[in-house]
Amino acid sequence: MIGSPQLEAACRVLESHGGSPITSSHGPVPELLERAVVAGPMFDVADRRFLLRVPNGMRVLVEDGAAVTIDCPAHLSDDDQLLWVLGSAWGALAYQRGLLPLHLSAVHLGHGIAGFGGRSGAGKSTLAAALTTRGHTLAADDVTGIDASTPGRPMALPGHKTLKLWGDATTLVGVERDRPVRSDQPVDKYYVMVGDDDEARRALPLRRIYQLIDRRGQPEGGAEFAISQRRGGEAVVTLESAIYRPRFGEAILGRRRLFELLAVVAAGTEVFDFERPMRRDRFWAGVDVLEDHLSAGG
Amino acid sequence: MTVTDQATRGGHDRAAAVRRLVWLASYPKSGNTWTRLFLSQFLTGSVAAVDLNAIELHGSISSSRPSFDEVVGLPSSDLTDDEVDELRPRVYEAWAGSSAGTSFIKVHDANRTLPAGERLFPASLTDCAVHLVRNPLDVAVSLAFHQGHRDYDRTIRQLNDPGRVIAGNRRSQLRQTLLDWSGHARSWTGERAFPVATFRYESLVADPIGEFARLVAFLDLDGADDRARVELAVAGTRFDVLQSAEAATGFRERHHWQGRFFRTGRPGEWRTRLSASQVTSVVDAHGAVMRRFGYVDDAGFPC
Repeated sequence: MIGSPQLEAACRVLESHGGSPITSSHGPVPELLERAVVAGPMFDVADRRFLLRVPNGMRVLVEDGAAVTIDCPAHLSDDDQLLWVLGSAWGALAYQRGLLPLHLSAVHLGHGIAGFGGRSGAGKSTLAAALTTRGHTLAADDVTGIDASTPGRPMALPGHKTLKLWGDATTLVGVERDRPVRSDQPVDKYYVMVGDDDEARRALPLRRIYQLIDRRGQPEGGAEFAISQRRGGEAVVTLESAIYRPRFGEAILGRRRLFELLAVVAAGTEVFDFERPMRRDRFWAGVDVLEDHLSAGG
Repeated sequence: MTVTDQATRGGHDRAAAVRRLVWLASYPKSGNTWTRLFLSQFLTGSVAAVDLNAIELHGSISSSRPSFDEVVGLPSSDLTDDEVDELRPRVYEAWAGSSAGTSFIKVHDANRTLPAGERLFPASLTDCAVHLVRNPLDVAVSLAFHQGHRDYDRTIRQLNDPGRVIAGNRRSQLRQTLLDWSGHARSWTGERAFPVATFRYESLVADPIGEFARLVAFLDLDGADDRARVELAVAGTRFDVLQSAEAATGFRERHHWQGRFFRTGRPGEWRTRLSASQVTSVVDAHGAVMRRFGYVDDAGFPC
């Protein structure tokens, strides 16, 4: 292990659901993977190997769901490395272990998990952070690993990384900034320390997913907020949009297996569209609406 | 008035397999959405009313954050805007490589060279560009409504700002560098590595059938010589039709602070909205380029 408690905790999350122990180390990593089945601008996938290239010069090699090797310039801090290891590389690691990483932030809901999906910038993390100020326990930020190996009972493996918020979101929610997510480049984004304990990392059934939808552009006169359940094919379509880095998933698991896992999640999880205006002045009203809905289902 | 720059295709091998991208480029509020809706109607040959929220035009917007994240495999929200810029040509390579046919990409960026020396919109991927231009005096008015205010001094400062950027940082779209209005126009009309045809918004309004026929001919689209098909697509995207569609179904590109996205579309609104000093400010900054497009006369007066 490279000695990062955060990375060790993230690996324990995956190891808790079986498979080989995960090792991490610093060492030489190739610039390209030979015989790549998918080659993106900043990643390659070849057989049981995944390579991530980061603009700061760092490269991460993930092999066989069990080994993470980091090759990076000496000046990069732990944070500047982990930001990428616990994001895209962790997603590839999860796929290699047969898991389904979903692009969800999440909170505990009774004896389960409720996740919030949506496009980048939809407010997943901000909403989850706001709920923590109302007493909810944060389960995951940005990405939630799902064990979909048991039909009808998808399990969420939460808590592999620390909550990140944009500067204005910390102000909106009223939470304290711990430190910037990057020290090598100026990005107005910060780690926020909420709910970082072992209990929050316990695997629990994934009970609900709320897809956050901006009501921008709706005709005048309609409802300001709307939560509607998606079933059957509609639920699958919603879930498909929540797959984390689907190109990784298709390359590592294959399209068929990816959709088999998705079907397990769709069959075992309630899926909702949560439509709301993306307006700061209506943010807390939206939190109220969601909290009422969570309470009704909790 | 018809304006065409670099519209010939001499020396640019259009048949090259990778050149599948058509850039639909404009400064904001210059008719880009209308043009995309027209092309959607034309290409589908649809006789049905236009569906504003399901534009059937293959291609995205150059500043799409979700597409960037998916292609690059890194979250753009954890990258700086400069880092994102340097990776954007790689995204367009992926789009060109994965596209079975032509993709029409909406662009508000100026056409520029990145700090590392690469072109933001590589000629090797490019079939051609349609450049839409609109009188900056009207753009100043339209932008103010789009931004939900009536402070035309503010929008004129934006038009006159050579370092003007929009979006980026935490916003839903990637950062786009516009330059000032003249710099933006010059960046597209000065392109020499691929064909660019410039269309004036005012000419599209005055003669939509003639101008859109010229546009589809430039793009060499199937059916480009079918006048009836052009007329049908123009009729399906008339401004009053778009306004009715927006009233009925909404339009996802409208912000909550805007009254309507399709507001008036009428050229010359600046005459009743802008003060003399505001007009002077725009003409002083952009007179040379405005004259080229017929927005000021030979004496330098706006017309």
